[in-house]
Amino acid sequence: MTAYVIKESNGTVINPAALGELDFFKKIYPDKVIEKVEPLTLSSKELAEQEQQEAKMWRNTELDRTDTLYLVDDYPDKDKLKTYRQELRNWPSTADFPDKKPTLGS
Amino acid sequence: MAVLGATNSTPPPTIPITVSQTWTPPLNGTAIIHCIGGGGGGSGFGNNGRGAGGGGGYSRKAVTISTSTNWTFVVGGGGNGNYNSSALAGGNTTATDGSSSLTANGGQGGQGSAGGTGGTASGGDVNNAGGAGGFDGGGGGSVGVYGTGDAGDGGASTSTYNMAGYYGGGASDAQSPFMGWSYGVLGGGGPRGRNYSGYSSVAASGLDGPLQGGFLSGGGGVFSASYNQQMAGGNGGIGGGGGSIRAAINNSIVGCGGSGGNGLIVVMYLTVT
Repeated sequence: MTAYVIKESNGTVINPAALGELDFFKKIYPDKVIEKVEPLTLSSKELAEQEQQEAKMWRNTELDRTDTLYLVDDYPDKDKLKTYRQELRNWPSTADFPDKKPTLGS
Repeated sequence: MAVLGATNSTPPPTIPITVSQTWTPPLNGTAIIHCIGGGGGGSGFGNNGRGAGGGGGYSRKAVTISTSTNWTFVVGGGGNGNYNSSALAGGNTTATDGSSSLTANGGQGGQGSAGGTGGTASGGDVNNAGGAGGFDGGGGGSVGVYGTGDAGDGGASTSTYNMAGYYGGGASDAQSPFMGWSYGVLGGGGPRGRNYSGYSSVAASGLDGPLQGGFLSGGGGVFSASYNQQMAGGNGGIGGGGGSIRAAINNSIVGCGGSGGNGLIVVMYLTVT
């Protein structure tokens, strides 16, 4: 069900979220301003910040996941793992961050 | 056993109204009109937004109703949660028939410096304000049927990594089965949403999280211990405020506060003539 904000013409809010049909509200509030309540969204700057945070989450998870593997003495291709972990650490300060993730063995 | 006010073995009807409308009573008689305002939304934690939503106000009145009259019912919606401060307020719920006019205002949305205040109420035989929302990852406020609504608990301490424990949204003071016939008494209060204090390993596994508030209760809040989480505050139950989010890392956007619960009107016939 859609929610509408009901306002006076000067912008004073009468009801911040009334649930119902637009036609009903037009009928009972004939001289009021009626606008659909829109979901709150992030600004472009906040979206970019959130994308960076999500990338850091992924990076930290990868470091956690490979941390135990790195302790295994005879883990195969350990040099590649070491390189990968260093790339993960450096990633936030590179131009590839946050769009292009490091990959193991690259 | 005879039940006071019942005219036969069938209980008088209880009618929930969830959407705004012009309502014509289907039966003549006496009834209690219950109005519950929408709960305020909870805020997330970016730019210092971390207050939970306030609970909706509550108003009830005993009235004589007739099939020849019309009521105008406006049902308030729950306020949307926000990633930052200033989550949206819940909507006002009103019931009018020309001689009676009940108002249960919506709870305030969570703010950057405090939880939202509970909605006020007027025009009824009983008018109770909703409970205030908690702060710092606290829970939403509840609707108060017998008095002012229960406030949501405050969440985490301002000390980084001091975990909040299992506090949560405000608890409903209403009891008895969900909207069962109870001679005009609104019942069925649900459990409050539990606060969630999360470590990354648990959050990543998806095993736990804040709980939604039950009927008339506030949603649980979240204390996020690290970047490794994307969480959402618990939504309020009917009229309950949404839970908020507090992150250990300042100004990180870890998720969206919970939405407030929608308001409600309940017409409980006492007698049918």
